[in-house]
Amino acid sequence: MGLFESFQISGSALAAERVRMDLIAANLANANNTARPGDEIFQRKLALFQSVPVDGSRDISGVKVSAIVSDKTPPKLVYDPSHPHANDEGMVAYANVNPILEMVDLIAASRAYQANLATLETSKEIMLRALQIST
Amino acid sequence: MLHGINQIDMLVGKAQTQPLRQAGGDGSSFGDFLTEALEKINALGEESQSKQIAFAAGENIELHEVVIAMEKYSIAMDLMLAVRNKILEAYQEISRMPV
Repeated sequence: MGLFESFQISGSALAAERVRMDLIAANLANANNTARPGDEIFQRKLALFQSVPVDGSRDISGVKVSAIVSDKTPPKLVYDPSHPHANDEGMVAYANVNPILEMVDLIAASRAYQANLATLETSKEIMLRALQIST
Repeated sequence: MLHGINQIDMLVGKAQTQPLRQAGGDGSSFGDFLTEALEKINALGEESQSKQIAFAAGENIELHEVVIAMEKYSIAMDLMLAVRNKILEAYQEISRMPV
């Protein structure tokens, strides 16, 4: 167990949450994508987290993004016959992104990031406190 | 009388001078330990600097990684300073000792 193991763990979590936030940003950015009937359309991306052992220890683990997967929910169909991507019935396929859901996920990711920052801050604080024992 | 002194001489001759390095137990002296620790701190410093440069150059590196590396270096430096201060204190304590 090294001195800076907690830093490594918190750092891995920060990196993972950043990936999650990047994906949410991508989802929101592509929320209004449409596609021609039959073409591939943007699918909501999700990050899967998995624990990963930090060096020198098997019991204490950090976290990593093990995979980025697509949400297989069918695209949202909106009736809009004048749209160039409308199909024969006048329906337009929009990306399967729900902005409300994404905002909630964004809040969760942001809070998780803050929580990991707090652990980082606290471990730094106690290290500096420990150094003050000698003075 | 002389015989007695000779005996003491023999004793002195037999007394092995204890090398300082045995104090550590595993053949490494305190000095080696300090040098090793300093090298590690230096490595942390180099890591911190290279990450800062990489970040400033716009390479694909996370900001928190840079800050964590800097923080590691700073804490290691503080620890080193605390150790140095203790050693100096001990030295001064000894140098003040009335003979």
